[in-house]
Amino acid sequence: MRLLERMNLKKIEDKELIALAAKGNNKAFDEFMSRHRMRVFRIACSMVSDEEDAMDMAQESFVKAYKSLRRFRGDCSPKTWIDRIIINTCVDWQRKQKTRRRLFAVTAGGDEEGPGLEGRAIDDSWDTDPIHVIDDKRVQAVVGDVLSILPEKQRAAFILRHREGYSIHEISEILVCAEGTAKVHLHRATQRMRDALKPYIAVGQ
Amino acid sequence: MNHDPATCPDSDMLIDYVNGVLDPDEAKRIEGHIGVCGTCTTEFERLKRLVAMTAIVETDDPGDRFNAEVWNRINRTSRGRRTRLVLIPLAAAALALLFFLPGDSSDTTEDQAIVERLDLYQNLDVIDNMEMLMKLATILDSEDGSDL
Repeated sequence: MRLLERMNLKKIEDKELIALAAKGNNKAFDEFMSRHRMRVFRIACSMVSDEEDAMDMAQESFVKAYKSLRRFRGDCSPKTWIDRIIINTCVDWQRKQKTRRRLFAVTAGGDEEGPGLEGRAIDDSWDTDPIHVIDDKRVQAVVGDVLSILPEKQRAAFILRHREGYSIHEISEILVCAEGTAKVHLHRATQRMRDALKPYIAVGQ
Repeated sequence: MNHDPATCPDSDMLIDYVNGVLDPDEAKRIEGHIGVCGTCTTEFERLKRLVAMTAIVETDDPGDRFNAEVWNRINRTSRGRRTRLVLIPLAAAALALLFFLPGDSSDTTEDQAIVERLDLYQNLDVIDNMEMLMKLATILDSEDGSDL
């Protein structure tokens, strides 16, 4: 019976799962969680550099989603809804941890949204030769460090576009902003990433 | 073709192209331009590398333990809420009792002592009155005797 119920739950769409969960069907919410946990965790990993913190954020997001099931009105897809929750959870957490987030020395010159990347001090352990690092796992760490210095909304826009493949419309829904604003966040993030990662993306090496 | 800032797309446009946010006509124009202009092509390749490099993120499925931990948290918070639902009315009732009931035991003792003292005074008054009555009776008796 239980197996049959599980099999049936696997067949139904997210919106229906959420509707069932809102009526008290915990198995439906468990199925929804199983479908989306990996992506939610991945977004959390991109938003916060520590994996343990990311796991905590991801789990907390589903707790928040469960508590607000009845408030979900279906204006967006459940996928967009849970992604909005994880982004907001990470942003809130980061604001609280602002001092811990500043791992690198940053010189003045940032705009009103955050510090500039131009004068950031590069750790000595970083291998600045692109040939040696392009396949290195440390590249991910470098990218993570640069991402962590971006203002939250820019970082979220960049991650959602280039790691999760969301459209500008979806990003605007997740960030609760106009499409034009989402484009600006993405544009600035790309500019900053390009400038900060210049040694790694040089062409002709 | 030599790079011409007047006709070549600027770097902002190339960023938007790589981000996939340009309208189809503009995107087509840039697509046709890349490969013709060396400078633009280099910039485009650089941005493409950036996107490829940053797109990599290795995470495994956290598995069913993830769900179990979420349910634990949900149960913990709902237990906490249930406890609060019981404790808040209880605390309110206790406060109401404290407000409406008489003060503490030391006040009660003091009040009782005052009442007892009042009783004593009343009794003393009665005694005084009785003494006065006795004296009066004696005087009256003696006067009666003298009259006899």
